[in-house]
Amino acid sequence: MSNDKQLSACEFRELEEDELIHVDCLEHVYPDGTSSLHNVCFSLFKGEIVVICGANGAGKSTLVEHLNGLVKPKVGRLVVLGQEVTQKTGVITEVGLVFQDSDSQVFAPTVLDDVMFGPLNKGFTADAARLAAICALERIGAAHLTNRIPYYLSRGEKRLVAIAGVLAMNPEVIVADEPTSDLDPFHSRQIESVLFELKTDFRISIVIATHDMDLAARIADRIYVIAEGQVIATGTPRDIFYNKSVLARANLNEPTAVRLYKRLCQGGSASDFKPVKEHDLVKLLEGVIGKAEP
Amino acid sequence: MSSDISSLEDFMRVALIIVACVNAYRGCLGGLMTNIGFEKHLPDLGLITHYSEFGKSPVHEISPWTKIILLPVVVFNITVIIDLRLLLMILFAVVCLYWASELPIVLLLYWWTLPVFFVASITFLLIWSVPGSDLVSYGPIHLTLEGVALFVTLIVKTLIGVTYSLVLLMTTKYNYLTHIISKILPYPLSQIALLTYRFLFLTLEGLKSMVIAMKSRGGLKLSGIRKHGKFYGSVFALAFIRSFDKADHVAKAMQSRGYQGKLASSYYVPRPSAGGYAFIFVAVLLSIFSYSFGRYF
Ligand SMILES: Nc1ncnc2c1ncn2[C@@H]1O[C@H](COP(=O)(O)OP(=O)(O)OP(=O)(O)O)[C@@H](O)[C@H]1O
Ligand SMILES: [Mg+2]
Repeated sequence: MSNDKQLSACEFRELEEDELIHVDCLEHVYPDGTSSLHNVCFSLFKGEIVVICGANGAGKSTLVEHLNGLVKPKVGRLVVLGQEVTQKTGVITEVGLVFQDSDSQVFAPTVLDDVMFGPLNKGFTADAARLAAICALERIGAAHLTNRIPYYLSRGEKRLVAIAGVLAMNPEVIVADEPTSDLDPFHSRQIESVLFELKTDFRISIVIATHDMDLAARIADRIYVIAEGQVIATGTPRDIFYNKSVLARANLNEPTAVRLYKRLCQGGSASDFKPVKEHDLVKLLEGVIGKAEP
Repeated sequence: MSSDISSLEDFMRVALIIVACVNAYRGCLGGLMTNIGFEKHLPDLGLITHYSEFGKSPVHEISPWTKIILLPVVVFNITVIIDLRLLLMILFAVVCLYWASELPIVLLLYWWTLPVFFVASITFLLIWSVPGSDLVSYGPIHLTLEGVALFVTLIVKTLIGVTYSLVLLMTTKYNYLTHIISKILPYPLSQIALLTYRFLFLTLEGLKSMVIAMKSRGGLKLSGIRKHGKFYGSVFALAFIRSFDKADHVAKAMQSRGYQGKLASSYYVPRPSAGGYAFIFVAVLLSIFSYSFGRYF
């Protein structure tokens, strides 16, 4: 669905059942006058993974920082977990935010202390906080970092610790800003599967901001595309990734599977099924090859 | 709560200003020092944390309270005692403590040079006017035995202070310090102190890469301090700006993990043992004794 309607007039929508985060007509202007968000509408429902796609400077991080009430809307409406966010509302810690810059998120003297920071602030006892921290570190495959000093960690390791720090707080929603941008393929797959498991096993809702289209294709239930601070399209990965004009307007590439599929079909369509993930493409090719064989 | 958070940001800023100044100082020194190969003279905060968190020496086992209570005792002593022999004995004792903490002695020697350099550069001007028996005299300038003794005394005092502080920092877990500092300092001060200490680590990395980047472009040369005065100025300014920028990010990250102006510390800090209490008692007694008589030892 193209949101051209939004550009002209923006109306507040009804809050739906199961809607955890509801954003209407959000505007944001930085103190220096840079307008970074304009008429943004956004929804997150229980148990889904929503990916916000956009090129550098599109406004992803700015939107993401609104989602737990860290930045409060001056214009527009923001409802998080049923609570209307106003200038007076505090930060909503049930929405865990993993920042793009993990350097400043990780600051305690040891990794364990850092991951315990959130649970302690939530009022856990030291023992309970330690347990939560260790579980979180194990879950993302970073148990070996427990007793390290964050100061000496590589950027990717810091990123893992930052994610564990949010996970340890048992959030209802996790919002991750470019969660895999500085990870190697192994660890980015690991983070990806952790996020996926959190959704399937614990029904935690997840928002990911990224310009990695392959990641978006693999993991998203729904996608928002932003360009120049505006939502220019929203829909399923299939709707978005086969819409050339939207991708061009947002300066984004097609995911690998879509690009390969289009080249293989040379414009024509081999089937009604349009693959978005590599896995889907492989399935499709196996079917075709199977048929072709005598 | 929102007022809480704005005051939190305020004192984060104060902490950051302190850090920026310290860092800028370190940055300039670092720039100078790396060029003449003195990098080791700057205390390595990462290493200090490593020893404090993972050290296993007997001194690490001593109650943090004991070590912290002894700090003012040490400071008191180096303020009042002027007898050089007594000061040397205290220095020896503190170095033994450092050694018993299984901390790197060689690094201590490196780390001593900066404070010594700093104190020496100030006292060097004082010693020429101290009355006493002349060692060298040239016109109105007199170098006396008492003058030399004053010089050495001030340096020994500095070394005692520096070494004991290092022992304290390198044998006490940060969480214990957090707990104790938030117990003994009033609210905003305690948070500023703790955040300052933490932010040092955070901004240091940026500073390091900045110095390296500047050096690789030919800046920060010892030979051209005067010529490159602007460069030093810009290191200072950049360290300042970066720290503010960082403060914003750190504040945001801390708030979104539920921080509301107080570092949560639900730690149990071990109380001093009977031996610890006895030691503090004896140390305080000795201090009073040396205060009464020590000036004339
Ligand atoms: N503190 C700030 N002051 C002024 N302008 C800002 C500030 N932070 C961001 N901007 C501007 O707001 C716009 C949106 O920035 P934002 O960081 O949200 O983009 P992004 O989509 O996250 O980009 P990236 O992929 O590079 O992280 C950009 O034009 C940016 O220059
Ligand atoms: Mg961003």
